Amino acid sequence: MAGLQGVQVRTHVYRRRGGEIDYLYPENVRLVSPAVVLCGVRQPETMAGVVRVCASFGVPDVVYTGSSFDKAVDDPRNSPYPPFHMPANAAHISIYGYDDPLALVPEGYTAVAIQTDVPAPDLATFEQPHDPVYFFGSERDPVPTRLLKECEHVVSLPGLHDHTLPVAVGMILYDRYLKRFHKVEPL
Amino acid sequence: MSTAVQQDVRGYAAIALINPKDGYNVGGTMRSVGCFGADLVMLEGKRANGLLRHSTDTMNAWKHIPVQWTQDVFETMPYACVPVAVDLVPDAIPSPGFVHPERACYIFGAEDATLGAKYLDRCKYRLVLPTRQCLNLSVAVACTLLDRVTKRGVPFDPAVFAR
Repeated sequence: MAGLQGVQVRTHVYRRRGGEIDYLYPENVRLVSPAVVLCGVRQPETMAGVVRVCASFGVPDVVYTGSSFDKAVDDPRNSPYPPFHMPANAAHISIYGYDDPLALVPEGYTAVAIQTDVPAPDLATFEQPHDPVYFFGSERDPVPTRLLKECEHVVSLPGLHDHTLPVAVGMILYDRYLKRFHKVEPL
Repeated sequence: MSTAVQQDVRGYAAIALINPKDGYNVGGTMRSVGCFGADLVMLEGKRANGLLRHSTDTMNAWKHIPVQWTQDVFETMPYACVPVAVDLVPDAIPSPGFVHPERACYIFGAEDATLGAKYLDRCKYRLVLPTRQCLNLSVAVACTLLDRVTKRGVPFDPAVFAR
């Protein structure tokens, strides 16, 4: 995958797992499908909600971009966000912080962007790929254009309004579960 | 194995929350319910009072969906509505194989408690979402309603959504 152009990125990938942090070179990180990428997530509480959903659906890897979560975890006293609690099952999830998430997507995996602000096929008609990496925007902003154009599929979630990020992640993972393991056909 | 797809858009979906844990849960759930356009929300239990208008319900779904406080959801339930308990109990039907009733009331317990025999015994069906651990209430409601609309075979249409 191509690197970012003109965007300052961390030199290392921050990997948090079970309260410990490791600093890895991007080429040494290999995401396991299905993986979830949160682009620019702000509220650490949202991150905790997504991690809980991922643990429930057996997703091993979560990637985030931006620095809000780092600040909230590493320096909670000066964080502008309210205190949050990581769920107990987060110990089984690897949480990667890196600003060029496409560099972490292994060859052969399919990048899927979940968007609501551009015309995209509805989830009901979407055929789930075998090895997906799902890209979500933040609470306020969609998936950045530079990442969106690298994604193989773009899909929109059904709903009269925007869903919260943990709910959006839960819906796409549940849809994958239905279609891949119980042969519910796309419309 | 192929799951049968229901092709009609008749009926409705109601949601009942039994003694929800906190306003964060209720607000998030109301937002999910509002996104799917369910037809009725019922709240029961001492903890449910005063939890409705929470900041997590950013779309103020309580303004657009009828919400009913009740002492007994089974008394308040609409005529001929089928109660479906959604809970992590051993004999529940996993949601992928479940055929949703035309008129269904999905009953959810609190995040920190199970529904218990008081509710389970009075429900026609018991449904479980097949996850490794329990889900947040708003995610559980969203997945249940997503399962319903997916199996009914109706592409997204705001006019008939979640019916």
